[in-house]
Amino acid sequence: MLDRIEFLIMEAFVSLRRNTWMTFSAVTTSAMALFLLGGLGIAYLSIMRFAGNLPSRLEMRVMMQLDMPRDQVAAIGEKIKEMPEVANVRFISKEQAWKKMREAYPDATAGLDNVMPDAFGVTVKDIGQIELVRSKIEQIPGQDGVEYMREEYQVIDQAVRFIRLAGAVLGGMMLLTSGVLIYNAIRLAFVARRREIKIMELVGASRSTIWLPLLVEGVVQGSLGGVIAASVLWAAFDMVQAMASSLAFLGEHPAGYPVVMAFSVLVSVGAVYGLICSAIAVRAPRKER
Amino acid sequence: MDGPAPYVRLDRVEVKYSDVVAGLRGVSLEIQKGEMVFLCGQTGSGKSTLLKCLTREVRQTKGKVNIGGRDISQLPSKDVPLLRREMGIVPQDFGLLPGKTVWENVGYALRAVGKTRREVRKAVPEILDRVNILHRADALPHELSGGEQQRVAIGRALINNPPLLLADEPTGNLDQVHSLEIIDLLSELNLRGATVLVATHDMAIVAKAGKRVIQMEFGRIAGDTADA
Repeated sequence: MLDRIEFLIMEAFVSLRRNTWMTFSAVTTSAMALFLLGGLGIAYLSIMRFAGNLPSRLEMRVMMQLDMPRDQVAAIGEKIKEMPEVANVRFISKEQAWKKMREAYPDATAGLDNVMPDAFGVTVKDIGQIELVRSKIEQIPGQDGVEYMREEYQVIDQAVRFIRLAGAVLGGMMLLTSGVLIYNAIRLAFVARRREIKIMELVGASRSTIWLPLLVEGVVQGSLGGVIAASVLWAAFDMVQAMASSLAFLGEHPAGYPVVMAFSVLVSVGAVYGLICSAIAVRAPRKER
Repeated sequence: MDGPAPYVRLDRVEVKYSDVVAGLRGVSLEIQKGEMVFLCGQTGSGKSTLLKCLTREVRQTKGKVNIGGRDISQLPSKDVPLLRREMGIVPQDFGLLPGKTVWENVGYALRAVGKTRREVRKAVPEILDRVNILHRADALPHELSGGEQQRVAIGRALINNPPLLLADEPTGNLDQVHSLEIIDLLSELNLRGATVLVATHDMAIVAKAGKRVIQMEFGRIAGDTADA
């Protein structure tokens, strides 16, 4: 069995060596596609992590009608708490609110009676559901409006949408290009190995003996692309992190590069993709014969 | 019907490459086990197509092709490699790997059919000895004469010890002396029990061999010395 595996793998590497330039272009293009996808993936995850911390900052303020009795206020609070999208509900009494207002604007509030209503501070579990929760709360009778940092939310939402779109379009295009190159590399391998393949067919070699080296070749090309992509991404991530750590507005220090995850995901994706492309290439000449 | 069942039997076989181009037009023939038969005819007469029908490189449009009592036209594609292990195929162009020595060319074919390194080490010298080329085992194909290259190709066809040997123009690229050597070698293999089918247009060597000759013209059998 080991003897057999050795023969098949040796056949694949002979072919890889023979088509050096085609192999090089297939590997580098796969690497670029996977780098792009991996980079956009990490950017997406970072934004999502950042967005995940935002609900506590993006607390919605649900205002009650002025002079509403406390038992009615408490009932509305319970209704909000029951919503599945809501993470936390904090009661802010009009006295607390007024005290804060007077501390913040002592001159403007001097001599005035309390004009603040009771309110609730509401945070959501997922930033993407903030609009949904707002509209649900606004349908509760007795509330007097919902306020939250709509602009900040929209910026984050747009960033996430952009990363998704860019990832789909650019990554997809690069992946398609690398797929065509892997396909071409395998087709060229067919041409380069036509004598061997012809001999194998003449002497009755099984289909798997003829095709497996070509499939291994595609897997190797895709995997190498994954290794290169994960390595370059690592270096790029370190650079970006070094720059980002000096920027105060990003707040907390971003998480480190997920080495194991990045290598395992990118190499696996590359290998599977290489396998699929080479399988398509291997099937194509079969129809012609 | 008297006598043993034929080893190879073609029954009204037609091969059409397109609506207007036909390789074979209703060929019927029978070859007994252990026979040596020459298929003769001009280029395009259908010799190679007939051999390709037997190796299942070409599928007939009509008719039946039987080898060893089995209808190979019904054989699923996945079993074609197994069919080819029951026959030795010698292509016209030798089909040797230029970067490999004589030893490696035969060894490669053995490895391709699943033999281990140990089995290859044992089998290659025996095969090369059978075709009298063992003394050139370390030579590369371009260092060999045409006749020697053809011996290697025949040796490679013997790796599965096949009962049927099919040679397509085995002397097509050889001079008269080397052609006779190759025909002698094929005759020797035939004497050892192999059924041998040789496609050729070299009538001089066919005449010297003194074996059954099937003459082909325009995809049909125009004559068969067995009928004479």
